[in-house]
Amino acid sequence: METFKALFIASLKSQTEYRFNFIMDIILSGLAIFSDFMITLVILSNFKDMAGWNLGEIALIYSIIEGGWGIFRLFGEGLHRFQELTLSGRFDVMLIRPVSTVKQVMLQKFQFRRLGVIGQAVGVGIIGALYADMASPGFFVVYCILIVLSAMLIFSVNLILSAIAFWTIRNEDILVLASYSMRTAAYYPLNIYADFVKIVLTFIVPMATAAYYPMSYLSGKTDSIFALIAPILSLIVFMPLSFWLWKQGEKHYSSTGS
Amino acid sequence: MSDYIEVKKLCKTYTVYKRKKLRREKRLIEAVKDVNFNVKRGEFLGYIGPNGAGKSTTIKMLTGILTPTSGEASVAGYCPWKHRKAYVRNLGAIFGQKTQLWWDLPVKDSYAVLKAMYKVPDGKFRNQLNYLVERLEITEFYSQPVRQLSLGQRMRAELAASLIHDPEILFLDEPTIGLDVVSKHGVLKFLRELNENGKTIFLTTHDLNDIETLCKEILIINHGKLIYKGTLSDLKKMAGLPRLLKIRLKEDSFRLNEEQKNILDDYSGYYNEENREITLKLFDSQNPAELAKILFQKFHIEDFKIQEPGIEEVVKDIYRN
Repeated sequence: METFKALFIASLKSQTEYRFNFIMDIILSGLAIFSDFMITLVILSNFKDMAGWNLGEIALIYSIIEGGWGIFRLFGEGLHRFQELTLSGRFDVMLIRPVSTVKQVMLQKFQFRRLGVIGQAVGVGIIGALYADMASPGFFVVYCILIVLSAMLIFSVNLILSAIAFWTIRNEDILVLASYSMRTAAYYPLNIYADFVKIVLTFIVPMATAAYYPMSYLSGKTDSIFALIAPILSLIVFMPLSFWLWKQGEKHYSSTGS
Repeated sequence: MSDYIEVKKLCKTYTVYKRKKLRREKRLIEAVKDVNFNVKRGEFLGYIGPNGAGKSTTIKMLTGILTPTSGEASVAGYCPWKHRKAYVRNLGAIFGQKTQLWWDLPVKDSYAVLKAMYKVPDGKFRNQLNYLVERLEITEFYSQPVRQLSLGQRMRAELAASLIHDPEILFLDEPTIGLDVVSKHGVLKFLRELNENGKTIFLTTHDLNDIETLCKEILIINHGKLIYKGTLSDLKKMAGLPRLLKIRLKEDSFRLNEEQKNILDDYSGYYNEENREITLKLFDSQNPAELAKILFQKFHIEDFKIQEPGIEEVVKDIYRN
């Protein structure tokens, strides 16, 4: 916790050195992601709904995934760029510190501009909840919990993908395939996809469990309580798995020549 | 009591794949083969070997970065790769090529983060920091981001970073690489001071003069195998390299006659006509004064000197055999 605090303060100081730059960064990074969503919105507005999901509900799915993604990137920029550490051998240095390497990789740098991503995701979520007529204090509590769980799930998936770099040194391609495309796929209701994609998004890269399943319970499309707790169920499986894989990878780490 | 560092039958094998015509082929590279050695507490050990000899691999295993293929090691009672987190609390390390500071953070913030990581108590941290900042002259760039530092400044900052938690043992991999003469002298002096204050230091470097000025004990590794462990003076004796006698001829008499050539042959010497310089090997059995007498009689000599074999020559000789 001490380490966390020290790094957090240091990161904040170095990034706020140029205040105007800092604020513009946050706004632009939020807008950039938001523009992606706008395109979907424009297309959707011609249909009014998608496979039984109205615009507001889809906005909520998007918002939970994107909010989680924003939180993950705020703290986990280092993990996202893990390949740079294995390629350059800078991971060596983390192994000589008395702190877990996952923590160190995560905390390399806080990316405060991701606050913009989180901001726009929550904005879209609130509008979505109003549009879908779901807004209530109770709902927003659940909504916040879902965003945090989504961030943890995205962290787990990315930890697994990063651990692959211990063996392959590079993991860029698999990261794009499994993290980016699956995240984008999880923006939309799962029932628009073919069975194969449904299975992948539920059991292999379980991004659908973060938003789609709990939302289908909250929007009254299913009565199964399992849908609501789906993110917890997949975390129970994926969190230990990801840490175990990382540990194995650490032993396998072969560094680089000097 | 057992020794501070104990290394037994340490091996590390890498698997590499080589592309052949149809399919790639698996090949094993033995970076470190069956290495054994012991180091006492408080030693200043120089670890040398040519590029690719296995130096860095050994250091990385001893610092817990790499897990060996087989073998054992214990440092201060810990197995580096098994008890990594407990072990590194008492370890400082520098990898000359890789920074351990945070690129975008000012030097002083990096130290604050390290303080938190190693859980250094406030009082101890303040004392240690004051000592290091003053001793390594860090004040002038204390608030600058690391990326703005010159190479010499960065190395001083790195040294301080590796000592902020006052570790007992230091592993230094090329700590003087790229430094100018003045900075280097400062760093070497500081390292000697640390050793005198009781720190065990394990140093690898390409610069054998560093080793000669600092280390009493040396290890030499080549092709993954340890080929020497002992003191520097024993190594020189063991190598038995001759002293060299160098004479420069006067400008008017740089062409050798038959008689002079014969003398050269007798003493297995050679003549560099461009520099007008003759080099003769002086073995222990020979009396330098006798030889000098003959030379002064037969040659017109401008300059005359006897050279002790330096560590460079000794090590070059060892690599060759």
